[in-house]
Amino acid sequence: MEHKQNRRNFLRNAVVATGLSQLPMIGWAEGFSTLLSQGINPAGEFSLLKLEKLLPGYTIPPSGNFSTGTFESSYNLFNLYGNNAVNAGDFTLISTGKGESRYFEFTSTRVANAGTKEKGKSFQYVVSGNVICKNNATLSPEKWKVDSRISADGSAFHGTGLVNQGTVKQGEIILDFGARKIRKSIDSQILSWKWGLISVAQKMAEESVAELQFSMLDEFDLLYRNQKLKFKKRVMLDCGTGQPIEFKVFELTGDGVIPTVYWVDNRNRTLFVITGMEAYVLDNHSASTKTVPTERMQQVYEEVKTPFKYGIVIRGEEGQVVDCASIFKKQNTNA
Amino acid sequence: MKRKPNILIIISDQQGIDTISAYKEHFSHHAYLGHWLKTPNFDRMVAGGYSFLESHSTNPVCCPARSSFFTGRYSTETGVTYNNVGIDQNVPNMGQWFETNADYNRVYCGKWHAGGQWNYPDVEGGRKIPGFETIPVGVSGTGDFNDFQISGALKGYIMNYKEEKPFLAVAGLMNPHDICYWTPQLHGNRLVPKTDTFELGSSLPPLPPNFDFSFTDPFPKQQVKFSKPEWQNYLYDYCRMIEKLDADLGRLLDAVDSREDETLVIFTADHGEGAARHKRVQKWHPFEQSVKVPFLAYLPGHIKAGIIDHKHIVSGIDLMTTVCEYAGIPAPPNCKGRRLKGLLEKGETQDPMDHAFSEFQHTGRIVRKGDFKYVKIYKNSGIPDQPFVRLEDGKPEKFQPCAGSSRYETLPNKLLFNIKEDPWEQKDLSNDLAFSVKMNELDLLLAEEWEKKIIPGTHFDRN
Repeated sequence: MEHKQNRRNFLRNAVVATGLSQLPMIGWAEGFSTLLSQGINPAGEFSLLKLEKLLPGYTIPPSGNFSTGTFESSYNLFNLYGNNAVNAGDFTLISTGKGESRYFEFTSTRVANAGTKEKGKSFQYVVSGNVICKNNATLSPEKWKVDSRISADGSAFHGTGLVNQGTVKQGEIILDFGARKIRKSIDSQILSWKWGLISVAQKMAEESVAELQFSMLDEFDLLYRNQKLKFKKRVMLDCGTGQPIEFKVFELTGDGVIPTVYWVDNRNRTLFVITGMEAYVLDNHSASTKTVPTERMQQVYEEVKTPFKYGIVIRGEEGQVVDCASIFKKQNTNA
Repeated sequence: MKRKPNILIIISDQQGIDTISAYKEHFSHHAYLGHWLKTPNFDRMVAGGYSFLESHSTNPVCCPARSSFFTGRYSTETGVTYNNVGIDQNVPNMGQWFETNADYNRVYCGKWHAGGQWNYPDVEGGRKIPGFETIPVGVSGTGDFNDFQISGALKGYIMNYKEEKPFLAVAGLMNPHDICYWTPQLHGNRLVPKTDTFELGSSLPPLPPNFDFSFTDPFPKQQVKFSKPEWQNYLYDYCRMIEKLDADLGRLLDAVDSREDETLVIFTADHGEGAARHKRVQKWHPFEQSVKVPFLAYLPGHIKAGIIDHKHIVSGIDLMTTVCEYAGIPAPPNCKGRRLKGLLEKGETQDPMDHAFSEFQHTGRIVRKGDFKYVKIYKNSGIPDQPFVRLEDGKPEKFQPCAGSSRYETLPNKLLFNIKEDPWEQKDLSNDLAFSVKMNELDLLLAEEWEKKIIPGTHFDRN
């Protein structure tokens, strides 16, 4: 019962915030009075229009804080079209901070037919992998290994399985598919990556960064330039607990991107990512608040570093040892 | 014997011809969308291949146009004159024709929608597209959801492919069709901001010069009542969808370019998009934004590089014939398409390429020749499979091969545009006596070269 009431409150408040609802003005969270008194309908509220179909089924994760840079979060992906919201898959992101680097592990699963099984087979498009990033503002990816496939019950379909190992070096992305390599210039711009922006927005919220400009990798082989992720405003929103929460709302615009809105709550958790016809919603249960155990962090670290890194390969000044992450083993040379 | 090239056909959905940034010089008015987007991968294909600026949809809506791609026949012949009906039993599709006449592995991934129930082949086995193996990617019908899967899966397929025989692969990409969900009819106003809420400012495209026009609109109900900011946000998002499509194209070109053997790539779209021109969204209508689509061919070392052809008139009907030519097999019987290989590789035409025919809205006809476009609309009975109205007794009938005007009622408002002088189609010349000879010439061309020669489909329920 309590959950249902919470959901109703959330929906009502969300709809009221859009200014489109004819619902009676009963039980508003105080934050909305403030919001509406400003007479604005910014992107945050516009994106709530799209959440309208999802909110009745949502409760906010109860606790947790992602500001440490170490977290494990899961999102449910919804496809918004017509007047329907259809569950279209899920996404998990594990972040582990370690010195100047951040390590991410991710898995994106999209169901091929909204979960329908044909002949007992479940078709899915799965992208999974790990990535080492600089621990800078845009969490710039430096090295990654990504596995993608259309699969039926886990087996790649019609030879669609593909492993992409990539590096960024001297303004160039090098995608290594074993016997073949594909190179893409990034015009020396700062780089980020689409799924990493979930964490970038959290970092911006924590460090009060107002705007970032960069090129963006999507799935580590689609490159979009001229991206801008900027802070839009603070919004008070009652997510069903009776206590309004302050959200920081960020907007992403740029080449190849339908304007996308990131909602980061007061625990620095990206709760919602809303774009044209898609919404990622932080899962209440699996996302929660786990601190990644030390063993797990070490495991991720070892898995990510092993394919690429060969230890100390050059020396700096006399008496100093330099670990140069930009030098790799290539055909038994140190090229 | 030399191995035939692999063939990759890439089809987008609802992409107007001016949406390629490499064409900015040719579509120089700043309201053309090439000025408001960046398509590095289309530009790469334009620079490395041969592309047509006078490229037409055979019938600007999904199934009819696609039925022409895969049969080389007009939609009246395939029987697919509207969406979601099957291709005529007697007309083989490309996969079936290759299955019996060529030694190719055939694979289809993405949107089919060329007639029948397999709009998006999400299954293997009995319901797969006849003649093709299918890679299932879902049925949602959105580019957001499907396109990166399609490009990712086919990239894998192409990069992993090691068989002796060549492949024929088709990528049915959805974007920028997602813009359909931005229109009020389908989605309320849920997806179109009413203000510049994202502070896009000077990045918002302007309204086109033919937003307002003076001639009598044959289909006034197609006009959409958006406010100016809504139109501009709509156009802005449409441009972003093109850029997403461009990235998916890049993935596929990367895969092809990484192979050591040869792969012919042909890119085209089923129809265009209203893009606020004549206050329209979507397609269905006879205007340039609906009918003109990209058509690019790419085979380094064979097809001429960097040719942007604004002289020869092509259409979706020419795809099947050309693909057969490259595979070294004859085109199916009664195929209406023209062979493009000689033009693409040597600049020599093999068949007349000075005109194109299109159909629209069941009973509409379009003739494009020289500088002119002629639009003729027969009266519609409202019955999908018998849409024409007989002069003799007013009874509905499906089209019969004949000089149509002598048999069926027509609407009074014909249209005639001089596309060269009036590319935005703002001035209808059909009532100008000075152009009556031109009207008669094009009407006769339609009667003699199209209406008398088509073989209407008879069995629409195969699928």
